[in-house]
Amino acid sequence: MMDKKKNIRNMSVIAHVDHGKSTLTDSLVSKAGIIANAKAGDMRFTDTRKDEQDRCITIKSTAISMYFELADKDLVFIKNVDQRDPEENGFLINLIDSPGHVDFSSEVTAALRVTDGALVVVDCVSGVCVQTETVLRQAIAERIKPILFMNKMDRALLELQLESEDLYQTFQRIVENVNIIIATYSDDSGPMGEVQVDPSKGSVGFGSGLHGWAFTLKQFAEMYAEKFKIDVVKLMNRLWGENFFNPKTKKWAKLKDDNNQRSFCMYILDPIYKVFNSIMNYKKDEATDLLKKLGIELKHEDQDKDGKALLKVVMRTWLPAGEALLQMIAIHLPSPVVAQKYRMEMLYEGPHDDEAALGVKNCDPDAPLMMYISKMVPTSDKGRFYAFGRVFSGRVATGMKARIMGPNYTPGKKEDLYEKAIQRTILMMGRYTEAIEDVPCGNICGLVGVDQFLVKTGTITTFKDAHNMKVMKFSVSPVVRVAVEPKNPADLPKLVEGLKRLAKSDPMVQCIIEESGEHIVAGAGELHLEICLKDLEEDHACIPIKKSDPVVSYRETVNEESEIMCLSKSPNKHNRLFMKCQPFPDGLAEDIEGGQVNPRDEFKARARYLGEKYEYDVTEARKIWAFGPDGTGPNLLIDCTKGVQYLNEIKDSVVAGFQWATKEGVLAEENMRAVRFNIYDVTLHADAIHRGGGQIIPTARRCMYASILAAHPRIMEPVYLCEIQCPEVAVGGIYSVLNRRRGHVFEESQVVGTPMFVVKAYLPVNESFGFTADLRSNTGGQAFPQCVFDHWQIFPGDPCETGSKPFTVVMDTRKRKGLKDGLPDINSYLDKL
Amino acid sequence: MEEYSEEIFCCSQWIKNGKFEKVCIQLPDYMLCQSVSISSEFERLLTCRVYILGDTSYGSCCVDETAAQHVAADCVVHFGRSCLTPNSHLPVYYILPKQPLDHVQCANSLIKNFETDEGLVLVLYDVAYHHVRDHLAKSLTSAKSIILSDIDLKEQNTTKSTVSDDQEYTSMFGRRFHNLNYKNIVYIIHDNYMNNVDRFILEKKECQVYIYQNSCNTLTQRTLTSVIKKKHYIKEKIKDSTHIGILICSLSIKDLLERINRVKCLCKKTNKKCYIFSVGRPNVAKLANFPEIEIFVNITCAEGVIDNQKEYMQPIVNVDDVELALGAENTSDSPDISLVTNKLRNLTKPNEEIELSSELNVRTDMSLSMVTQNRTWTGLNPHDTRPPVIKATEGRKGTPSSGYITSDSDHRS
Repeated sequence: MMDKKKNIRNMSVIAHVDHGKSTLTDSLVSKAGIIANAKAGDMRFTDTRKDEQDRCITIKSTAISMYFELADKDLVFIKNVDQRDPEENGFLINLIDSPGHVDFSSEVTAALRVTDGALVVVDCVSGVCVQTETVLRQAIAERIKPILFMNKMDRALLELQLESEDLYQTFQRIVENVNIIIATYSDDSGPMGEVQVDPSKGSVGFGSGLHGWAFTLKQFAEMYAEKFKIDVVKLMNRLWGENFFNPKTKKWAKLKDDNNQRSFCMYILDPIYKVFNSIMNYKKDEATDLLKKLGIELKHEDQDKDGKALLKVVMRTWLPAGEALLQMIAIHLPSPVVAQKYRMEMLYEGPHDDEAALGVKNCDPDAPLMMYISKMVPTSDKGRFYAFGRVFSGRVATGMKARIMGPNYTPGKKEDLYEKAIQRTILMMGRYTEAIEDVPCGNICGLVGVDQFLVKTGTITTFKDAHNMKVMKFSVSPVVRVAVEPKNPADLPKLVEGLKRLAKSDPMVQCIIEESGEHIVAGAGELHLEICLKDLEEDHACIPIKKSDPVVSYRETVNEESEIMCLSKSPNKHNRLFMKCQPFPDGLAEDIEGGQVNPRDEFKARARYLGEKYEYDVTEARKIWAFGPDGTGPNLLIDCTKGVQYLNEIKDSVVAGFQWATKEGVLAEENMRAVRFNIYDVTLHADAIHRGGGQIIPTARRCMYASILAAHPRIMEPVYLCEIQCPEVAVGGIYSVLNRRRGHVFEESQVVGTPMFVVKAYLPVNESFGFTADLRSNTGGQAFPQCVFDHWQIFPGDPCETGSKPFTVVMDTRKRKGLKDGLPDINSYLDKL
Repeated sequence: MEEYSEEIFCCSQWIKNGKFEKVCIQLPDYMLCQSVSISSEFERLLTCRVYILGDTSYGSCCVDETAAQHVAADCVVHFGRSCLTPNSHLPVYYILPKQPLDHVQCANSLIKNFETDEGLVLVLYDVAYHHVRDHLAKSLTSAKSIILSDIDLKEQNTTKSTVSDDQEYTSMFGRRFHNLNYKNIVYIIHDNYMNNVDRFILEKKECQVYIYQNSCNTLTQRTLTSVIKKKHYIKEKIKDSTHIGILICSLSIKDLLERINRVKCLCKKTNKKCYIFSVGRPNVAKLANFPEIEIFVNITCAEGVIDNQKEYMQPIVNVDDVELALGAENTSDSPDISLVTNKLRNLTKPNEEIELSSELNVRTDMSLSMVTQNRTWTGLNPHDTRPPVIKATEGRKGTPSSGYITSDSDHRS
């Protein structure tokens, strides 16, 4: 089956937290016969971890491969020849269920990379939420085709008791919102073709994952097609939008009047409403009549049920969710053959016409192997992992020798490159795995025996000149940190080993040791860290662990241009550097971090961009010497000198000093951010031996430190974008909690058609610890926040002023790092002419 | 000068006994002003030549054997603070500095502090208090559980109480003491010289270590949690590095070559490249000339620790740290994750990388020059791109109005 690449669908399920992804996935799993029909919706098969089941929240993305057959009548809907093998009715669906909580977005990113389509689930009661938007944006950026599913219709009907017209409006609004987001990041004329979702085309589903029923307009159109003697496709168009039907005159109209009714309400919602009413109000006779009309036959044991239980059975028999979803997936999501054509250029770093690129583009099983490992999945063998990923080209087989390339590999070099045999290839089936001889391109699988040679991600290939597949871009960053240490100091080696394993097992977590010797675990948020630490304690290190309170990492920056021209002399007093620094214009730091401005750009084009967007002097912008720290960071070193002799000779030394200074800022040795250093003049000793690195590197660093201290240094802190959903009564409580925590609300709106409010606010990460609990207790448990790192912001106040808040931050950080007490003095870095 | 007259006399006896002909006296910088009077005193007592050694190339706590060998000296008399590191060649006579110590007060506070404690207490003291050792020992006789150490001066047994080397005594870091199970250690420190204390803390992990400060008569416990923690970071850094610099900061240590070889051997085993640097007394500017080096291993005496570490680009570590990081473990052949960068450490063995072929391959991993090639400035361009120099040849003749004649044609144009 895996060889019929046109009949494969690789898809992920993405949504906001609690919109019912895992529950909905159950419907498909049960259709595949893996779990019993009755259990679907309660079992959450893809939540394999105990804590996932206990907390009712997905933490890790889980893959499952399923086989389905599509009926002949549905096959005609697949028009593209690359979407189906003409002789094959069966479809292999590789599905990845992903977490919805923002803290685990990195799992979503990893899932999106290996799939071609995404089922976007939206709770029709709460509508499109912040995380819906985030994951959808990511999907579009990765060229993943979305389809939409409106979940939790049972709640809309039973709890909110919405009128059918209101419900239609709600659906309509959600579809619109989703399409707006899609349109912002892509358009239908792009390489992916049509990406917008449209109910009348069948790319939008409706239903209830919990109750296990779902439909698209196609199902209803088929029911009515015979009766009306209209083509199914034509009817689907009529069943959505401004189409009204007058039952008396039997005429369609485009406008509402007294005698006609919206077709969607009349033909789709009305029957559903009737079923609900009759069963929930215990009108047994009416219900039996209705069932007969709809042609629903109940099993004997189900006939005695009533109320909700009966409703579930009826709906499930009438509109089975698995069937509707399967059709949506098979018809509307692309096969690897279709998808890899337009995804190759986004995936491959190398030239777009080499063997590897063509193999990916054509999804060619006979081309050299190209596989991307997107994450590591722990095995039952402690410390070992399955390398999980997607074969994009060629085939991967047990025992074959392959090149394992880490993210730092560059073609032609040997760094981060290993040539090893693949011990085993396996299929991931939720909580089980299945060994398999080989896997051709277009499929998702796991590998045994390569985990030791990769940290988190990598490329596996047999092509000697292959470049890496592009690394994934995460939407979150590890801004929250805790220090860990073993309760028993003798367990330290175990902790270190455990940290290394943890670093592998999560796509986002960072496990590092600081210069002070503290072991730090950094994650996206409190929940993420909590889970990571639990894993560390129970699975990876297996020792009791002491953890510090969470802290955030800060950045150092400046507020104004240096007040004075800063001069520093080299140790031999024969060389002088004259420098100033100034803050970046707004947006430049983000541009550098986002890669729009980067050290590999062609310098003239980059200078033009900086000149146009940030009004930088173009001649100066052409003389950017370096980005820093680490050669890529958001600080610049610019040569503003005129006609200095020997300047080229000291460039490397000044750059080394710059990298050093930006890595360890002057205030508290935190990274610097958004600072531009200008070299205005340099005098050098005439003999090369007296202007070597030893003289220049420390001097450049001192000069930069002086220029920072002369430019009103500031501390930057990370800020969360925080979205809170709550009923109106709780809004007051939210404000008071946010005010206490230096947060500020920038948007407050009501979710149309519901009593729910959405409050959007910026909240410093440092103030967010315990925020969720605090919010709950202040709103009677009605408000639930989603916080995602958004930007860096200057910590208000002057860190050089004793007693100010940033001053305390600097002092605390210095103390933690074991640095000298008190702020550094500018005079120790500044020299007199 | 007067305060050392007794020692100088003893020393001259020692020189006479040893029949040394050329004597060097090594003085720390602050005593150089007394050098004339000291040397004339020696010359008065002895018949041989006396050379003065000042401005030592490394720390003044170490015996400057190299300088002494310039004059082919037979022995060295060392003045001032000493690290008591065993040296390699020459016989040395130490004349230790003298600092006042209120031994009665000190003894009392020790006795008072440990009177309820059952365990044995070892008392160590700074070299500057050696002159009051006997007084202190007397004051401490009442407390049986408190045992006073001695300074291990090898051949010059100045104190009468200690006798020959027998099994009961151990020598450690320039101190001699009874070989017993101590529970506590008290170190009487002078002027924040902590290095030797720290060595004892790291070595005698089972003991609680207290420091006694004479100036304020206080006894405080000292732990090195933060130092040990920092060592974890250093350990990771060493494991990450590929270019290690061996920094020679003393030439007179007895096992200098053994230590260098040990580091070299560890580097080789872990496929790291190491280089030996001898730059005299290291400073920021000297070491910053080698930005490609990732770690400097400081080979030095006990007190030769570099203090303003933060000003240096690279961490400066000692041999023990390297031993800890690279010794013993690392037996597995699978790569390891660095906790500093969260990247894989490339541990591939060099022989694994050479592909079997008859062609000549460039070794890419071995030399520092590969790293320095990343520099943008590579010196003056040896391939001059300007047109080559040629001899002057005859040009055109004539005036604009009459036209020109070129050498190869008479044609007027």
